Amino acid sequence: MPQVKKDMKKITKALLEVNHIECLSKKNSIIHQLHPLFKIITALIFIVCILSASYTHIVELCIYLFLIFIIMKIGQLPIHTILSRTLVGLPFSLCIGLSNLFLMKETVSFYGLTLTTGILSFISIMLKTTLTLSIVFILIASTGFDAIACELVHIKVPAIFVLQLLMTYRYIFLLVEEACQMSRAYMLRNPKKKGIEMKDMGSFLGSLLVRSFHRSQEVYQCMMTRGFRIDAVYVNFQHFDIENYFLLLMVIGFFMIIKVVCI
Amino acid sequence: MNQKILMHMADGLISVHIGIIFTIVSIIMMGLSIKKMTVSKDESKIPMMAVMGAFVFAGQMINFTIPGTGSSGHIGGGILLCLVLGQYPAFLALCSVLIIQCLFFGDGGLLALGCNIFNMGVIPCFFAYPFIVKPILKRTVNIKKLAMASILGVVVGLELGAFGVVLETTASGISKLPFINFVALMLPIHLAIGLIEGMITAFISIYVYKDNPSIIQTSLTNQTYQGLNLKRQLFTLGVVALLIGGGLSLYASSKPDGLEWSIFNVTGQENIENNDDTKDQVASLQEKTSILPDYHFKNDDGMLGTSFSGIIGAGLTFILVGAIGFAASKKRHEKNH
Repeated sequence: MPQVKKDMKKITKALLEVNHIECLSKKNSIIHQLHPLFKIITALIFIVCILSASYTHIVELCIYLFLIFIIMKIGQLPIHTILSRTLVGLPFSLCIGLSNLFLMKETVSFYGLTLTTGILSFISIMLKTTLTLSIVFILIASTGFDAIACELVHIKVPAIFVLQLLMTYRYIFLLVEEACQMSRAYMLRNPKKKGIEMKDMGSFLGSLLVRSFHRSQEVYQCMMTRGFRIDAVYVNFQHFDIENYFLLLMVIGFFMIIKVVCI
Repeated sequence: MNQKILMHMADGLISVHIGIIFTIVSIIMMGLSIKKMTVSKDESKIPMMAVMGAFVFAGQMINFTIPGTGSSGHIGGGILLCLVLGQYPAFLALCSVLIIQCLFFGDGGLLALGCNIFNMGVIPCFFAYPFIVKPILKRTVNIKKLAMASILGVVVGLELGAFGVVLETTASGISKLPFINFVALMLPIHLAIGLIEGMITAFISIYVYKDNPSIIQTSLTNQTYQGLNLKRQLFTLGVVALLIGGGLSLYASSKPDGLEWSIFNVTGQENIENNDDTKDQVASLQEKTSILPDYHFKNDDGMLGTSFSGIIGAGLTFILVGAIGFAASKKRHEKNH
C-alpha cells in the first residue's frame, strides 16, 4: 500500500478516535458527573500511588488494575477500547522492561514461585505503563477536553495559555483535514509515486505552514472584529464545592489503606 | 521506531521524584513564557500559536519517504515553531501540542508531562534556538545560513532531548540498562533522526523564507521578546539547572548507594540463593530500588503493627470524615436549591 494511503488511513483513524473520546465524555454516569478538578487531582494521586509501588508489589498493581476496571464499568466506558489505546505507549516501556528482564538476574521467592527480579520488574513496568495511560484516557473520556482545559484556569493557569490550548485543539481537525487534501492532490498528480518524496516535503509542508500562518492572521482579524481583548478573556469553570474536598479526603484515605495493606 | 515513540516518556518509566522535579522546571519555564507574552500584549500571537501548534500535529501525521532506506519519517516541530513564532510563543505552542498528545494519543503520561515538556520544549526553545539557531542567523538571513541553522538546531535539540530521556529514566532507577549503554543506544539513533528532521526543517524554512521572508525575519528580530537579555537568560537556565541538579542530588542522597548504583552496578550480579534469608535480601534490595523510600515500611523491626494500624486508622478516619462531610454538604446543597 502506498505511504500516502497508509497515512490517510492512520489520520482518519486518529481523528475518529479523538472524536470517539469526545463522544464518550458526553455520557452521564456517576464518574462523568464528578467535578473535573476533582477528577484531575484524583488521577494525579492515583498515578503517584501506582508509580510509588515497588516492582515487587505486583499484587498492589493488580489491585489498581481491578480498581480501573471498576471505574470503567461505573463510568460506562468501553474497557476494550481504552486498554487497546494504551498499547500506543508500550513500545518504549517494552524495550526498557526487556532490558531489565535480562539484566536483573537475582532470584526471589514470589508467593512460592522462584522468579528473577527481572521478570517482576518487567511485569511491573508494563503494568505501570498500562495503568497510568488508562487513567489518562479515563480522565479525558469521562471529562472532555474543554472541561479539563477550563479547570486549568481554576488552578491559576493564565487564561492566555488555556485559550491557546483550546484553540490548538480546535484547529487540529481543520489543519489535519487540509493536510489530507494536500496529500490527496499530491498523489493524484503523482500516481506512480509511493509516497511524498523528501525533495517535495519542503514545499509541501512549507505551503501548509504559510497557509496556516495566513489562516491564523484571518482568525485574529475575526477575533478583533468580535471585540476580543486579552484582559477580558474569561474561561468558564465550575465552582469547586465543599463536598469535593470531602470526596478528596475519602480518596486519599482509600489509597492510604491500599498502600499500607499491600506493603 | 521513530522519534515520537523514543522521545515521549511514559509514566511507567519515571519515579515520582523525577516527575515532580521536571514538572516544576517546566511550570517555571511556562510561567516565564506566559509572562513574556502578557508583558508584550501581543494578542495576535494567540491564534498564531494555536494554528501553528495544530500545524505541527498535521505535519507530524504526514510521513515522507527517505530515499534509499524504504523507511519513513516526519517533522519534529520545535525549531520550526521557534523560527516562525519566536522562542516564547513557540514553547507555549509546543506545550499545548504535548498536552493534547498526552491526553488523546497516549504519547507520554500525565506525571511524565513535565519531563516531556522539558525534553521536547525547553531544550529546543531555550537551548538550541537561542544558543545555536539565533547566533547563526544574527547578522544576515540567507538560504545557506537558514539550512545550517535548521539542521544544527534540530540535531543539537534532539540529541540533548534524547540525553534528557536517558538521564531521567536512569535517575528514576526504573531501567537497569547501564547509563553508558543507554546513551550509546539513544544518541546515534537520534543523530540519524535529527539529521533527517533537520533537513526537512531546513527545506520548510527555506520554502517559507522564499515565499514570505517577513515570517522568519519578524520572529528573529521581534523586539517585543528581546527583553530577556543573554545574561538574564543564562541566569534563568542556571536556576533551572540548579533545581534539576539539586533535585537529582537530593534524590541520590535519599538512596544509600546514590545514582552510581543505578548507573554502574546493574550488571553481572551474582544469583542469590533462595533460602530463608531471601525475604530479608529482597527487602534490602527493595529498599535500595524503591521509588519512594519514605513510603516503605520495614517489617522486621517491630514497628510494623504500630505504623500499619496508625495509617489504616488515619485512612479510615479520612474516609469516614469525608463521607459524613460529603453527605452533609450534599444535603445542605440540595436544601438550598
